[in-house]
Amino acid sequence: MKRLRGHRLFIAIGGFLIAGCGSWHAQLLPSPTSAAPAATGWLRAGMHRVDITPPPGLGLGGSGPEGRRSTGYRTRLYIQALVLEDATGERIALVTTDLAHVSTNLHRLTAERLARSVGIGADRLIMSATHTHSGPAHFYAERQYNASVSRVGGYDPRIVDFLVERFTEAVEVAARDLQPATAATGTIPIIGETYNRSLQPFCQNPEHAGSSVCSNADRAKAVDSVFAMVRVDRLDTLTNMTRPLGSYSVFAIHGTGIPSLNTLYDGDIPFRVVRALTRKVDSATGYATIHALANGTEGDVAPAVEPRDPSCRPPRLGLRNTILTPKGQPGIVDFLEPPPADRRRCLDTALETIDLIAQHIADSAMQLYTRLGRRLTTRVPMRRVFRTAWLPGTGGLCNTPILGSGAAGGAEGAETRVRGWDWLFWPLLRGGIGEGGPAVDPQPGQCHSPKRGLVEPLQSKLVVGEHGFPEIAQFTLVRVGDVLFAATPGEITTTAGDRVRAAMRAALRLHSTWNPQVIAVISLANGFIQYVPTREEYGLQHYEGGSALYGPGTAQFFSDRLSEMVLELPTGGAPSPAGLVAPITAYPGPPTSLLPTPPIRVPAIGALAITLLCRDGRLTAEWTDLAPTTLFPRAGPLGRFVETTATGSLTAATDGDGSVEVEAKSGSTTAAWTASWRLPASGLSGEYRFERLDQGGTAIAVSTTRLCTRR
Amino acid sequence: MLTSTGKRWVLLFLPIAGVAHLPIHAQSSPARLSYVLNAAGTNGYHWRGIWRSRAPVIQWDGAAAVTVGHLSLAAGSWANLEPRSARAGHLSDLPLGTSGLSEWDLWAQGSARMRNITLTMGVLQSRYRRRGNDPEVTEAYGSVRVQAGRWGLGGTAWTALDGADGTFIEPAVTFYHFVNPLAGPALALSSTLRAGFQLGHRIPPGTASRTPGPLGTGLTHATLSTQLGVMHWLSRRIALTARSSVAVQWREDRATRLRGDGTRGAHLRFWFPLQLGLSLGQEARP
Ligand SMILES: [Zn+2]
Repeated sequence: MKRLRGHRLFIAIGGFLIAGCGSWHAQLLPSPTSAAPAATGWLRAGMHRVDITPPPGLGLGGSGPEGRRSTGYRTRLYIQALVLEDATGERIALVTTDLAHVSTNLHRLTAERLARSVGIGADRLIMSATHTHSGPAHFYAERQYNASVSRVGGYDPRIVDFLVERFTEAVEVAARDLQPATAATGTIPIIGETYNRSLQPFCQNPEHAGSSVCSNADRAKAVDSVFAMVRVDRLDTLTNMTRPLGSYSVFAIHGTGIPSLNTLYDGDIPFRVVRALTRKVDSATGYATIHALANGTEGDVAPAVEPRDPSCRPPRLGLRNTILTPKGQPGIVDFLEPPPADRRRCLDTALETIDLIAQHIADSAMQLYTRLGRRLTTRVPMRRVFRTAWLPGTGGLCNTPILGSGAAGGAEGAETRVRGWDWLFWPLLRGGIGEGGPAVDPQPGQCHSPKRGLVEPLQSKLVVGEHGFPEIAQFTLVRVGDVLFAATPGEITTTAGDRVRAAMRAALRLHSTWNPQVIAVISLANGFIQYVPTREEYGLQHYEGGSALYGPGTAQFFSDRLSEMVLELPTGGAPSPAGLVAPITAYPGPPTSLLPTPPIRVPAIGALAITLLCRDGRLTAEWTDLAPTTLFPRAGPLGRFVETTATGSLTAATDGDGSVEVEAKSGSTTAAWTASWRLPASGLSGEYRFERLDQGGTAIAVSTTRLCTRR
Repeated sequence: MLTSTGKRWVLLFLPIAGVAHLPIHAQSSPARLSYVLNAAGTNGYHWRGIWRSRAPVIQWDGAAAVTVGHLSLAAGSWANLEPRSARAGHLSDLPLGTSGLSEWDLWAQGSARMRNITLTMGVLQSRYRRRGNDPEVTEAYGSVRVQAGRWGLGGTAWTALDGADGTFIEPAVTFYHFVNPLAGPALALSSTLRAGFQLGHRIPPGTASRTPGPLGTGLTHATLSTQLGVMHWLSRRIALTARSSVAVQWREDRATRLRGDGTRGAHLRFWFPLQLGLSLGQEARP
């Protein structure tokens, strides 16, 4: 693709920005509406989980220039779907996924298939991302996001197909398994596991002026600490006995626990919360349950991983290892990765911290889950309101989306390699890459003021171009019993979230007698339009303000739309209003091939020879195997470490569970695989072996046994 | 007593032995071989404040290096070709009316890298085709290169061993306006201010046409250039490099090439080098 190469070069010059001038690659997305509700008289529920771990090689999305190309995986990535239907037949699919974002094309294309098969259209499908920054990119409906959410740019329609197929499968299986159920909703506060990474803008809001949180810089309290859950159990209608099915929860936490120098697919903290909660529930009840965790108003909420180990730093400029000749030209300066030992230390300390954070969140979640078990009921009325909103120039938003220079340096705690680069392209363009300071440029009368656009006017005229950023936002309100879910495509800050909820409550008071126990705002749902800070926060142009594409009125726009929608929520027993799904267009940019293709003929590989090494407290298995495109996606584990004891052997670690790092270096048809397990700190020395498992979980190759100790 | 060749060998190994003794963590990493091959075209060949050709030239260089951990040993060759036949106004190193290879240099060096500092020491021998005119010159050189954020600071000192005398120093400071933060080609846009000073440096004039080097002590040239460098990987290990710059240069040609009487002449001149090359053994960008 000649054209694309030219673009790549241009992009590089433009930085973070990719050219797409003239090539929109417009794609009209379907507008599937849901089937009319058909009452069964029962609350019914179904849940399903699907593995979406792609083969390595894709860019990790969410960290912009820091998002590395994946070399393998540490955890598997999943989609969890809960389909709920109330007694009147109101059906809703609540879906979460281990991705940084969900795009409108993923949402609409999945809904198109679901509307045909299980009657769930775009108006009853909430797909939201956990916001892990270690999932694949390249699937966005917007050209600019395909270019810049990862170091590795490009839009791959095959990744869209790959994901849509799996979203569809998750919801279809859950919907086809709808059975009578009971449910309960509730909340629990979780404090100390998150903190506000943008305290200065937070304290700029009049509602926090003079508060103890701001005077004491109590970042841990400047967050939305509400963990909201819907617990769902199956109901045996003959015996009236229930058994656990799973849960769907919302909690605000950025998916940035894993430092950006990571190169492995990883579901970050949300994955580990879900895994820990699942283990707790399963072992307490004896059932295999499925749990989903959506993200809340996480715009300015980071996981409590700071201060990070000093080894965690973005690449710095240095000379590449070119030969510095005494004549001729000087060497090439480039961003150089930190040394492997630093990278290892950074990751190891971060992994220990996020395991603890996830454990603590899961402890509270388990407490809530148990409590909800005593409140299960079949009377869970559900209603929904859906709307597609046009953004440019609407309801106080600016006409043109512009990224601020305060955004390009990354957020506090998630800095990019260019943070602090004032005077980019000096002396031609001013543009402080970093929060506040030179990112603030008051221009009275200008819609975006005081945002200084990143390399404006180059950005909007040449680099992003027309339709480069999102132009629509899909909003869904769903009542589930006593909870009102508001699904939005923004990353809403704590205070903006408070204001949105207050506006919705005020509208509800005018309209109905229903006073929801909690309004849970779901971020990163059914699309992605970046950040939603308050007007006051926007004024300081920190990362969140610089990322508010449509200017200072974004939070007000969200409040206005959602409180209008509240007025459409039916009162009494009336059904939900008809789902009007407006047609929308995706502009993903030119297609490129990034998802590795499986070989046409799977080679005969013969018996696998696995070498097991014990080094620096890690056990590493190495073997040659089929290429990842042949072995992935894959539901079951690829392998496991087994400890042999005097009494027998037991599984010590399985791939995909977060403790084993699996990498594959592909040749033409086979690949060199490594599975590396860091022995637990508490572990004494033991004798271990590695087993490569087939799809059914049977060992097809075993290494020799080796003694290994954590140092 | 050592012969002059023997002396050169000693001089070659001394700095490398010195570099090898710098306090650097021992690395267990295996030796890595790398090669570069460059061809450059410029609208003139200007060297330490002297015109060696005012007509367009083609310059090529090739080098090989072996790197173990932070240390590397390299050797290479550099050459200047004048495609047009030399005329008086070209101030060429070639006899009038001829074209082709005018200069052919050999060098060997040792380098050590510690974090953001690179130290290099080596020996360079410059050979001219027009023998008896420009003499063969052998120099030892030492350079330091420091990268501090977006600033690159560096300098090289050259000391004549044979064929000339004195020392020439060339400090430089570079500011990086932009470096590609995304995947794809390594790309940097930078501006460099470079100056050249001679400290008693003297390369004797040639006999036939007063082809001289700088004489005396002082500033010989100052150059401000803005440069775009690109390194694009053709495969995991092979990269294509391209560099282009626009430079404005002030130079004081105290040599006699411009003026037959050997008096000073100060000149401002734009300079547009364009370089294309291949680099082998360079790990692709992550
Ligand atoms: Zn985010």
